[in-house]
Amino acid sequence: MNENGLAIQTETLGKTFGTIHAIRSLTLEVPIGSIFGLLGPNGAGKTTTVRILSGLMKQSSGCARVCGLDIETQRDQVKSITGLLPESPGIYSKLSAVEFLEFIGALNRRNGDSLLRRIDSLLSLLGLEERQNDLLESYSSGMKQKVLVASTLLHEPELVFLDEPTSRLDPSASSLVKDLILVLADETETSFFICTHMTSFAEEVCDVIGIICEGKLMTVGSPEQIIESVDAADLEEAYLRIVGGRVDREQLLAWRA
Amino acid sequence: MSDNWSHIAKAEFLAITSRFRHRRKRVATVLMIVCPLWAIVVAPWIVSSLLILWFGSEYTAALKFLFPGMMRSLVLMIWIILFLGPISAALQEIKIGQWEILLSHNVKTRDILVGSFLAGIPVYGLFVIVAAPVVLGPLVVAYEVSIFGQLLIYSVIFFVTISAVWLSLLLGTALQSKLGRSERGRDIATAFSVITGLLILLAIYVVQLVPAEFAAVMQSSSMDWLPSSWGADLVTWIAVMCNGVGLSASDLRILGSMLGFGPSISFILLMATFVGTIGLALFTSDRLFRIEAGARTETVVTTGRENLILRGLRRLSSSSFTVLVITSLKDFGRKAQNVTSLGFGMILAIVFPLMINYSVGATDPDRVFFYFIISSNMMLSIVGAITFGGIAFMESKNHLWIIKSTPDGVFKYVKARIAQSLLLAIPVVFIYTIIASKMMAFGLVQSIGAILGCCMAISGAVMISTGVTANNPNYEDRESKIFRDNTGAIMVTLMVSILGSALGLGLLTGFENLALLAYGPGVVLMIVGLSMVYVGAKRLALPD
Repeated sequence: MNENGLAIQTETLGKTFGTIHAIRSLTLEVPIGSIFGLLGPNGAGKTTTVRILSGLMKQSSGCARVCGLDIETQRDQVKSITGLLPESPGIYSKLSAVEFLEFIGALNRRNGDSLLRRIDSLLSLLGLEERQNDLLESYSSGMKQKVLVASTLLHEPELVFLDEPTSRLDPSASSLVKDLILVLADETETSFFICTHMTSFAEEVCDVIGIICEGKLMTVGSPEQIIESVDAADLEEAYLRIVGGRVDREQLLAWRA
Repeated sequence: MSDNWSHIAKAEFLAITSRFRHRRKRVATVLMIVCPLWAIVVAPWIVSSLLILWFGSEYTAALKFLFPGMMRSLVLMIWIILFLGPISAALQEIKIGQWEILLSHNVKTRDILVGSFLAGIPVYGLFVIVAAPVVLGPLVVAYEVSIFGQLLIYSVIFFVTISAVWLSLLLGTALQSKLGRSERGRDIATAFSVITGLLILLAIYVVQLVPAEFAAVMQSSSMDWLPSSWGADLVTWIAVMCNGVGLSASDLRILGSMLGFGPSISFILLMATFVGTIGLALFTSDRLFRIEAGARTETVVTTGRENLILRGLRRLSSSSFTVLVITSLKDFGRKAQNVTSLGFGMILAIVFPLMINYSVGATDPDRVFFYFIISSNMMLSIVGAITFGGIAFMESKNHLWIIKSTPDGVFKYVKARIAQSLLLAIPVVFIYTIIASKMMAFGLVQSIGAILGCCMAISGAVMISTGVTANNPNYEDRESKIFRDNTGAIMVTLMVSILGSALGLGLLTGFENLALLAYGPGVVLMIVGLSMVYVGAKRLALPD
């Protein structure tokens, strides 16, 4: 376990793609057992941040530690104690949910009856037990997302990266995932790093929120602190004030002229 | 019929020419100047110079009576490629998302059909004006065809081309409309696309390896009724009528007797077929077949109990590596295109060595064995590369993210993929070699030697293709630039490894040690494959 009590620690982390600055000097600390939400508009640098922290992408500058491990020199160790839910479902269409999860388990060096029992429990928790042997090609996007959520939690990671976890889910599935995150964080000290642009979800689930825009971290704090700091009614209003993007009614209909 | 077809044609054309989007007018102007010059002046000059260089200036007399049969073979080849090629491409990638957008704007199937056809005409026209002067160059030069005659010839070829494309589009759209409605159908469509692609390959092999026999078959009267024969005969007639060599009356009589129908009948038949297929397409589309959104997931496939082989593997080892291999086997085996390309590739692999042996005409048993191993190496390595490399490697970039997010995931995945490929390929190679050995009347020792040689070749090819694809991942898209680049790199590596090592070893040993020449390329393929797969996996595992 990490001695300084931090699940994530970044220092002036930066990433450029040619002339584009995806992340600019990101300095951040996320305590163990907390649920951190990274809010920001499309293209703000949320997914890039997750990819760097989970060891999939190299930063251009700065450094970061995940659960006390250096993301540059201890990449494989980082991967073995973290779980990642990517933004889009990258699953085998010709495997069933059970077979796909068995594959993910094997990649994480898990197999045998204990793995199969865990797969059964997760699928039944997520309401997929009746379809668990159907090929994934016949699943709706929400069902695929549920399978991916299961794959992320399968090897009991210490830190879970969730990139837009509820974007394809219906309200009841969203609520289930929300509860799952809260229970896991409470009972098992699992830390969560969630990228989202759904302010209501972030407000309900996250202990700490960071708002990122054009690669730059604009503010960090609890939802209440952020709302208070800009004198807004709720997180959505605070987000719009910080990030910008509110358009007045006249402008909304200007295109019809 | 609404004018939606014109909007579709415009959009398709813009998509096809998107590479030149900032300079379309400039490119079009340059092409309009360069292409006629190429067709009328440059290409005939190059072809004429090469023919004189290879055969001497007396080639005209030798070639002029060979042309009718050859022309039928050539035009049939063009026709097959243009007919099957677009079907293969269309079935490979059924554009569901695009259809849904079009259908939401009240677009009919015939609009899509006509729009797609018209958008492709400039491209096919370009193809004709660039390729036809090279292919038909010997005919033009041999008969000294006038410029007017050349224009008529290229017009006929253009007409044959668009007829084949139209028919192809009609059949492709009908198949897409039926198969695109479900995942299973799309899977079958992709399998069809593999078959059509391999049929093209088979046709090219036949024409290349036994040209004289093929030309003789094409010359028979039963082939008079092929639409491609009407186009070919019309081209020959035009060359004869616009010739500048002064053909004698007896020459004309002999040539006339070799051609099926007269020029007018050939022209009428060609026109009638084209007009008929247009009428057929306009009548049947939206009646007999219709592109529609459909249910998309009509059939839900539920997996059953694992088969005997997979259960046996689990009993042999319960390690996580075995689980990965079993998962890979399931994923591979459930895709119709994979099974089809493996089976069909094996048929090609059997046909090819037999044809090589026939065309080379070797009688010495050692030489026969040598030719068999070398040609099998080439064919099996291509089959192995097409079947197990390329698109069978990974489904999407997101799939790669998931694998990369696990510790050492890429290496585990690549090793499992190779093990899966070899588990499928080796038994098939055994079956192939046993059948081929029986057909070639090999003894027991030679048969075992053949199995060894073929196993090395396919193992090397599997590793080379996996290595190339891991180095530059492609995700289930045969239309992408990456897929084309990878396929090119794989084929070049395979052929350089096989032919280069055979030639190198031959030069070193004075082409005397046939056993070394037969097995050397297989060993080289294995070494190259191992190196490439290591480099590929290493690069794939690197963070972006």
